[in-house]
Amino acid sequence: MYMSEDMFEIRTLNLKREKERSALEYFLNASDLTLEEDVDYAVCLMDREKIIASGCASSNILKCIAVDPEYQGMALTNKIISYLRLRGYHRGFSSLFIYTKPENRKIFEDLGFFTIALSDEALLLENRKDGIENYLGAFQEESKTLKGSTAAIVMNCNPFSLGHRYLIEKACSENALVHLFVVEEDLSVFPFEERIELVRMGCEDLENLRIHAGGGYIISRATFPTYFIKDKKIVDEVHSRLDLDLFGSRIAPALGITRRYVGEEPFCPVTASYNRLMKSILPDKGIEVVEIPRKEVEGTAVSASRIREALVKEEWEDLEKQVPPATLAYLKSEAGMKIVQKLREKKI
Amino acid sequence: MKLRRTMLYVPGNNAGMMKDAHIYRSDSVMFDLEDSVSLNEKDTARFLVFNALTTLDYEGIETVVRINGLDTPYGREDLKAMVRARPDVIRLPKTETAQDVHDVEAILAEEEKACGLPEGSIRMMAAIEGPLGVLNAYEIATASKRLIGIALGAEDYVTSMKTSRSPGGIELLFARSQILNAARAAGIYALDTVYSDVNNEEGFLDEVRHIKQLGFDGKSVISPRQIQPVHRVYCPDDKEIDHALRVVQAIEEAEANNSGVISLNGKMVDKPIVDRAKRVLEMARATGIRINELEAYCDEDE
Amino acid sequence: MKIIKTGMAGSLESSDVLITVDSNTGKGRNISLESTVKRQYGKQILKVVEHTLDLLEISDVTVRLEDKGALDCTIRSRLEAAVYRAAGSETYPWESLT
Repeated sequence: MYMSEDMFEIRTLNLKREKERSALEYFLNASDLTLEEDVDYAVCLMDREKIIASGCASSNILKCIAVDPEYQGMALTNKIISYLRLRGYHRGFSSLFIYTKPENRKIFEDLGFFTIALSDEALLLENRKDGIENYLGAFQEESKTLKGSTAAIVMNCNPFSLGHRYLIEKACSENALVHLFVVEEDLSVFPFEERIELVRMGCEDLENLRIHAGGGYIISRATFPTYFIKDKKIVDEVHSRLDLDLFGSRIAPALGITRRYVGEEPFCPVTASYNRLMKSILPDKGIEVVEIPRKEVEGTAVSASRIREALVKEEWEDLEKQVPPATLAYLKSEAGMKIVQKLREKKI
Repeated sequence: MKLRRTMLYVPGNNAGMMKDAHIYRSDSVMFDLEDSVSLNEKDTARFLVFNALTTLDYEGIETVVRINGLDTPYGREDLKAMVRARPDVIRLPKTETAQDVHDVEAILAEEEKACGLPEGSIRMMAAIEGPLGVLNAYEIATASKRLIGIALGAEDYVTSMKTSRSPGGIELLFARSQILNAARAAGIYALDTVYSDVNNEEGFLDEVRHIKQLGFDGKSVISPRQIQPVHRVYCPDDKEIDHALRVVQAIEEAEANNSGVISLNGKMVDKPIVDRAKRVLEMARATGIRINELEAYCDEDE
Repeated sequence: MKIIKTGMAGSLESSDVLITVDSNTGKGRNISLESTVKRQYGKQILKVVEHTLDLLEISDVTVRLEDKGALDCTIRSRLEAAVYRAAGSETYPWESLT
């Protein structure tokens, strides 16, 4: 034991160096993996100058974990995962996720990870058993004593508009309790803290609405990586299925959710396809999908992208018709103008 | 006379190696808190080495701990902990001057006093890893009575010398000779650097033969696989053993005759020859040779 | 000592253990053990953990052990390191640890 695996040097790669990046890509390709764009850290075990095992991370998500077939059976995965877990700890991540193929389930469960979502093609694990329970714990109590139906909505609110408000109001009028999850990861220019604050301000009057941060379990980089690779425009069904499995199997039952409300999606292909899959997966798990047509203003559907366009052109009159007063005030504030500036630069 | 042919290097944060370090029968084991431990894990390694030393039985094998330098945030705490864990020897890294030795010695004395150990309980060895240290080798070797030896650390040294290590080791000839000379003049051990390519057995053996011929007492090793090869190279041959046996016989005869003068084949045997004979026999026994049999042989499986 | 944040130490390599320590204010000790040798050594491992926590005077804590066949002294080392990290303390009383 002393003599085998400890002979291998553990080495952190500099992915900005073409030579190191392509060596890792070459190694991963041999294991049918690709070096994903969002990988920000890579560690390898080296036999002299040859990569024999690798592990990568994108923020708190571990991926691209592979061992050269000739070096299997030497517990090199233990070494890599151990290293990544300690690194995650030192970096201050309270939990780590692994996104992998279902056949690797046993390997990672033996290394301290717990399966939180599974589909035919993909598996998502977390390094703590109580992650979801901790997340849901705070708002689980109310559901237990509730009479009547509970619904859920997942929204980005980028930024919060009258269209969002319309959908939420509808759900609130048709159910005893509504959980609104605001996607926590930032896909676009409006930062999460400000997005959720605008939702809170715009929904103060809705007494049966509970607003939550989406955390790591609802459309996050972990559950749904492709959603966050914007330019790709490819809808990865594998990821959508995993996200919906997590919602349907773990989150909905814990909160007694029987309905999920969703706005019709005429614009974004990723969201449209996600909605389609939702309708095919969730009913089997006892959740009704309620699709609400978009609110229209002067013959056009309200949408966040339309709002962002109007914002770039500073069409305040048009904006006034599409967003609630709190959002409008924010957009006109200094913070809002900074975002307008960013939108112009990015031409989003 | 204590043999120090092999000092097995054990990374301080590796629980598996820590547990088995003694079973390979090197002459010493060296737990490393320094270069093999990442900055994030200095605390965990210190706990691990501390508990291993206070709990595990290393069956009489000499225990050495390489601490972090006092110029790092870890060196002082390493000493505080290790004095209480009581290894036989503290190894100083990157020794440049006699003052470096004095500084560690002062802290050792203070900590020994604080925890009720007799002053001088813990010995020291100094690793010389740079050009300045090499030039100061004798000053370093004589800086403290606690010193049992000085060692060459070649990796940093060759970098400072603007060169790299080569199979023949020509780039280390001066440093090796200087350190060896200083150690001999000071009457302490001289220990050679590691050979890091564990897969190159021939290259390793060449280097061991080379440093033995220079006069080194032994070598740091980074893998258990390197232990027996060193012991075999250091094993005396039949001729040396025969000669040593005759010297010992001559001593016994002189003692029996109450004679102050030892002679062998009509020639006087003086102290260096007696010492050498004793060392040869000890080395032979340590390598597993059965001395009282006429056909002595090296037991390689030992 | 008081646990104020998460502390982690050790590894998943053979003969080691990865220990995660967290606060559990007012709720006593909550110890979970995943081990390759749980059947043979589970009791002994927990004994070492309890004893070490006693020495460190920790009453409220969550401890997760992922054991890969660590010796008692390794478990102790990793737990001590994780607890000190979780307590945010770097003053180690080596005397009382011997």
